[in-house]
Amino acid sequence: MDTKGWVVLGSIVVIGIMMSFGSYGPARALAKAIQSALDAIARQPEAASHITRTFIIGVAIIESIVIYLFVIALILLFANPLLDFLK
Amino acid sequence: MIEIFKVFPKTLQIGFLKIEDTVLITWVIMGLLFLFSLWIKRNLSLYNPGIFQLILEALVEGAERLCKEVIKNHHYKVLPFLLTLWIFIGACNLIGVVPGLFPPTSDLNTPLAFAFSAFLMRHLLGIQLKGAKKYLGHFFKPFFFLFPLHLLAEITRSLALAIRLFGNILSGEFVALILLGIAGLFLPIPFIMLHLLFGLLQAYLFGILSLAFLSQVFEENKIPEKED
Repeated sequence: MDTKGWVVLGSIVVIGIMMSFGSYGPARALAKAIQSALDAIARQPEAASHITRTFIIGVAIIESIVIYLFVIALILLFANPLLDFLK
Repeated sequence: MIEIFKVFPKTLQIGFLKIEDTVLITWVIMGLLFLFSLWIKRNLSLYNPGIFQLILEALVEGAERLCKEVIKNHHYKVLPFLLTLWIFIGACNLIGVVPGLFPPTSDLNTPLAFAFSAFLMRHLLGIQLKGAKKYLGHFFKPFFFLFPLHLLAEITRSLALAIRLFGNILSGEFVALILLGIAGLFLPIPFIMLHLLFGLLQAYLFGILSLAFLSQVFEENKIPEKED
């Protein structure tokens, strides 16, 4: 295999590892956030709208971690900047 | 970009100006929203409101209540901006259902433009409320050396806002496309339905996060609250 093949192989392996481990952490965080929000709403139903708004903002920020990883994966897959060094 | 039917030309050449298909679709959405608002303005009624009028009234009331909660006074300065973001980004995310069109927000340039408008709005409001010298002075506030960190915070905040919208919409498109390649015609349909919900949720989120960033400008200045 030539050098370009090794770089492409490395990118693909790294994308797989990155997406699997990178979605594990935010999944745990989302579970904890949803659990706490449900607890809070069940204990205090009159504060539900306020809790829901804060909850949605927090969930978005947690989710954006995976989205950043996804964007990096897309860059590595379709517009790999490392391949330009090989020419 | 993902295009199958090629309704739009990839680029449109007017003189030396080259216009991409994202901009064309954005113009189509703007025209549709304009015509829709003209139509709804003609059909407004006090005693016999239509379904769209009721939906829009609920939207405006919800946005007004939200702005009032987040920003105590001056909330009318932010309300039109928030509603524009919600309606326009929501329309942009949902236009992907129409065959031949793709959501303009799945091109990184469009969310960057939205985030830049929120960035400009924040700083112009800050300058308008506190005066240029005082507002720009708070970037140097604790020490002079913290100026690069303040600048970095501003830039990464806007960039994160844009990339969140872009990544969510593009990932929905990709999931539908990959499932279409693997399993055929009918499996992507529930995912596309889920993606419709996510598109509306992302529009809501973009508006509410911009509002949260804007509200920092209001919190920092010390306008005495009116007692009622």
